[in-house]
Amino acid sequence: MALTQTSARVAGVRTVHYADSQDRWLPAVMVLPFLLAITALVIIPLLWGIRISFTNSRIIGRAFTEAFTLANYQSVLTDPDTWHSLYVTAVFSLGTVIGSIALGLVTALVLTRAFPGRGIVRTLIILPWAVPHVVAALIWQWMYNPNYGVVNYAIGWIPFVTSQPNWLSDPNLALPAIIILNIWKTYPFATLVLLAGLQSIPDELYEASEIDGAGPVRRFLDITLPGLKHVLAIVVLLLTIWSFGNFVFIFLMTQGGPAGATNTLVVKVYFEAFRFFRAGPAFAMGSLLLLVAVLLTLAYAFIVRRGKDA
Amino acid sequence: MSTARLEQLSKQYDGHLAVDRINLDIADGEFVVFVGPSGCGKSTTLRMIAGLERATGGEIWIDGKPANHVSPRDRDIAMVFQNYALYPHMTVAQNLSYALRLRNWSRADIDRRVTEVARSLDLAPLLHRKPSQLSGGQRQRVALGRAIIREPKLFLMDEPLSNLDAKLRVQTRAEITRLQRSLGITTIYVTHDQTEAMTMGNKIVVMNGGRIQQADTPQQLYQHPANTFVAQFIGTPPMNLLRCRLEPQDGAIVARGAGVNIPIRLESLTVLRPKIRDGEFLIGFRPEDIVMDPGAAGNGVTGSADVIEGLGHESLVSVKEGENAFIARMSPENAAPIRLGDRLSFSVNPDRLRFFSAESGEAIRVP
Repeated sequence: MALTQTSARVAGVRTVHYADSQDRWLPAVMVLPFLLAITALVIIPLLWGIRISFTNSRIIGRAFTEAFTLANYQSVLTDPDTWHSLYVTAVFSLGTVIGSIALGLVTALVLTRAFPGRGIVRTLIILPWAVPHVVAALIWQWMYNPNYGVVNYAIGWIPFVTSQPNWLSDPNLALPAIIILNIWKTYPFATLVLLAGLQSIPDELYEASEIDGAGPVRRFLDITLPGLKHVLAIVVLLLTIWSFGNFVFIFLMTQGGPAGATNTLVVKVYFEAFRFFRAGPAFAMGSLLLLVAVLLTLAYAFIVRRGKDA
Repeated sequence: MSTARLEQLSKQYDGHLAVDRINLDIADGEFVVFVGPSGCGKSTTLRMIAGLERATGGEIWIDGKPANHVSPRDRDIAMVFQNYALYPHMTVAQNLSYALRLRNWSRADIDRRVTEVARSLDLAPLLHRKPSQLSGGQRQRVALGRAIIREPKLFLMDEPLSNLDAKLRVQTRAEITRLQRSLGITTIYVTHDQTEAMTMGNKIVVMNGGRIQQADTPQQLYQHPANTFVAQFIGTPPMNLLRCRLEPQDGAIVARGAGVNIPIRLESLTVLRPKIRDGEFLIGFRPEDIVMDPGAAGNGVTGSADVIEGLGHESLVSVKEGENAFIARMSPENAAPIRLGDRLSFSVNPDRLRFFSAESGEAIRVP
């Protein structure tokens, strides 16, 4: 008995090995062009940038003739502006994640119910996601315009409100205004993924909990939320990564202003490098950003893999 | 401890009647099995009793009170689902105690009750596992445990064994029967498997096309099927049904058809004749109620051997003659000399003959 089992196992391993060696190279060859492109366009510039961040170079392209120094990191980490930018970035990301997921979850819950025209609504809801960033920024810039924007026009309809805020020029309103834009742009994605998550929860679980005595609130807390846990983690991470790296909205609408109110880290890096031509500090900050992005991506990969095992 | 009653219960989906005015009384402590082919309305009926589907007509009474407009959580029922529907993120213990926690039981009472149920179902060593770490049989026991833990008025089970392999199914079948008898909780069980129905239920409700065909004890169902559907649905192989007419022969009356020549008793004739007049009818008998008898040529059923299936402990011989075909159950020794195409004659136990109308399929009960 034990003997036959062992030989069966050995035979099994051999079969797998055969299939493996036959097509082992094909997938590798297929991804090779992509790997080369990634290396040339992403990995080499990244390493180059990291190298520059440890030099006093002001001009891109002379990195290897300069001496090694930690001065850039020192100046970046002691600069209060950096910490302010980190704060702005955190608020921007957190605001987007919370707003987008809350809105996305409500929309997804509504869309799981059958109602006339659901198919059309499901399609329309993706539109903001499909609009290019630049177009979205221009549309919203117009909407936020204090004189002829639709937002202030709408506010005019609210009784007893007379103020006409200058959304993008008011240091207290600029960041929330762009967060709202970013929520509008990203919540269709949250909706779609959460909708898929909701549909993967078997109806029987809801029925079982209903019979066990759970009301609507308990069913949401005990069945829906745990069922979405994995999907929610993925949405949170992806939205964080994207918000963290969002450059277009802020650059087009406020350029980091007013008074640095929307000066996120990526925008700051851009201005350091291409407006003030301080390559060293810019690359130092960029390298730190890269580190954060890598950590977030690793967390994402970890969650995806754990979800696959479960 | 509780009773249930269905009155003219109906369910209509987009113009299609899934359940058609069914009436049923379920006594306290009874084990009722709904059985029928898929789409016969048995699961829909169960789900209406559970409150998961709304009845479009008729009344459901639980414990003498109308339940149509009572929500599932207030009906005090427990249900075992086909796919178990265990909460995947909860441990076995949490799955078991969920209903109790929702009812605000005290911590100590919950622990005591979980331990009791876990012991009775052999789940004690698994209490801290998640459903994904359990085998099919173990999940099944957790689902059962979740149902029995709060001693509901009614136990509803929707094909709970269909995801188990054949061997485990037989074991669990006995387990559920034992559990139900010892707890005495009124149980309604849905299955498409007639063996499951026959072995488990006190009362079996055979459904087809949204209607109850017959609700009876297993014995009655097998011996006195109410119509040809029940005759063919219950029993493996099903009851043999052969077409024939009444004809005079040597001063007596016989049922005669392709391969059929069976004398009919006078007292049976008095009932049979007015019902069928001179038309065709179906004569029915179970495969074990005929005996191979070479001398019975003009006094039983005959035909040529068509298929021979040996099952080890018995053999099933299919016999064909013209438009009629039947199956005979016999010992392997008796079946051994039979070759395909052999002419075979059988005598039929006259007490076991059943008669059905050829048009409606309804049974004609004769003395």
